[in-house]
Amino acid sequence: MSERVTKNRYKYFAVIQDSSKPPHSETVIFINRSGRTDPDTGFIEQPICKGIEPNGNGFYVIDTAGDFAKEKEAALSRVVAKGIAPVIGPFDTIESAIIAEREKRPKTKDEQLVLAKQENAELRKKLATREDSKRV
Amino acid sequence: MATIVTGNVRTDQVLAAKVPVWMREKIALLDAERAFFEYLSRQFKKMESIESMKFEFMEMRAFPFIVTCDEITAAAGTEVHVDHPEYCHRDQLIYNTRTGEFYLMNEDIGGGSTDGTITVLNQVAGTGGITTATAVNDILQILPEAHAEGEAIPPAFSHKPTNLFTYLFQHDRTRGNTDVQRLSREYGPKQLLLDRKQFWVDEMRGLNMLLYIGEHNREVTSATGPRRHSMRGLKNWISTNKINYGEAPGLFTLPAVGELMRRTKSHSASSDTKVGICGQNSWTAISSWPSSAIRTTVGETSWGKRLKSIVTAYGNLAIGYDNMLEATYGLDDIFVIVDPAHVQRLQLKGAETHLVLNTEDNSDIHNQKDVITGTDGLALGLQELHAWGYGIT
Repeated sequence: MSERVTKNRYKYFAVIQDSSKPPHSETVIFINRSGRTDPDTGFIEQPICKGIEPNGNGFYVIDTAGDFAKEKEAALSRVVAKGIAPVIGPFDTIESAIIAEREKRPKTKDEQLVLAKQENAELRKKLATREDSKRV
Repeated sequence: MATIVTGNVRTDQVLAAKVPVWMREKIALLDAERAFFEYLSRQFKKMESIESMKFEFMEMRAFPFIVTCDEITAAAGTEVHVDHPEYCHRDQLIYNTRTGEFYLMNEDIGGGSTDGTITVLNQVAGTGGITTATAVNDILQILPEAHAEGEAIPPAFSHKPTNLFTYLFQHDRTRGNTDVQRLSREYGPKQLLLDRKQFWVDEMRGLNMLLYIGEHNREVTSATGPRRHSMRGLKNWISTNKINYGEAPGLFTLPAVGELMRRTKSHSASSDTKVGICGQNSWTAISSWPSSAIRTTVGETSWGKRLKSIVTAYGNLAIGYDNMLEATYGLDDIFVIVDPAHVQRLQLKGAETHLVLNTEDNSDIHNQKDVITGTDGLALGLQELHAWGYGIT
């Protein structure tokens, strides 16, 4: 099977995780079309309604080489633009999506503790430097 | 001094105080019933009385059957990137539904060798990596272990049930009047009776809305402060099947309903017939479906059809319209599917929602107070069997 793997093949939309709320696993409908007969070809098109949902890691991933890629990106971009759902993007790489999500999401108590400890350590270092300089 | 009327006396010349107002006895109530789902949800199952403000329950789900590729793994690779590697175990057959290729799990538990990946072998060759590169979003099925002759039995694994909870909330509403007001003559039914009826209706209307949109919470104002609870509604309970229709133009069609139904019917615990509660937009759309199929003649005096049931490819759906889900109330875009076998209304035993009449102090003989008081909650079982659609235009 031939692969159509390209450098920027995927687009990622990240769900900002919040452990205090039910998981956000909303399906976003990207195409919702009534059945019709194509006026040019006479082909009958079945009605269609399809949605995209986040994977187990909380990312909506669009394969730009796949079907309905433009529709998927447009629908998810509208979700982001509205700013109500905890969704950000699009990102070209999973890494940038993860970094952006980490920055945006509310910190858990454990993370807050780690950050506080880091800050504490840095302040102690600064204080130690100042005391040393005073002694000199 | 007398007031003189000259000529024939007209009605406007009669002393005003002498003319009674002709008032119809009946008073029309615009909103005497506004609690569609509050009523409906009590018909599915009897209210359950519990002895705590917190209701806990457990649910068991099937062990996950699939993982999804979240990064590309190149051909010949042995570390396949997936979202939940921990679901896969040694010697299980892994089937890539896109490429049609089988892999053989080559570590006790996925993620053991490298975070975020499963270590696999080429199942056909029994050695080496995968033949075809994976793509992001590939769905891999986790199939049974393929046992080698004489090999030891595989390590055991299982998963735990889910522990769920919700809070009941207590709600009060007070109405009052004086004895003079009660004893004064009025047209029509006494205002006291009207107030008692209407404030019950209003409270039920509020409760009806919370059954849809309530978000449960236990507020503690301080470490020793009182607790205030709020209840959880359908919107907050449903997480798996929450579907946003608002980002793609298009009508609410039968396939659109089918997309919701399909999800709620994909588990064996599902009821055969689901119940669909329509907001204004979905109700209008559904009602218009048969219009194009109705043939009429000049002799017909009515036209159209009001549907009560929809037959979809994924099962039957009994539908109804809640007029609280309309544009006036900002919820016209909602369409909810509930599984009637898994909707349980809750109340605190001894604190059922009821009306207490004349709650005033015995010494306060001039004032009269009635209170609606009670507790309510909603437990939605197996949330995968229900769906919350919104953004329907």
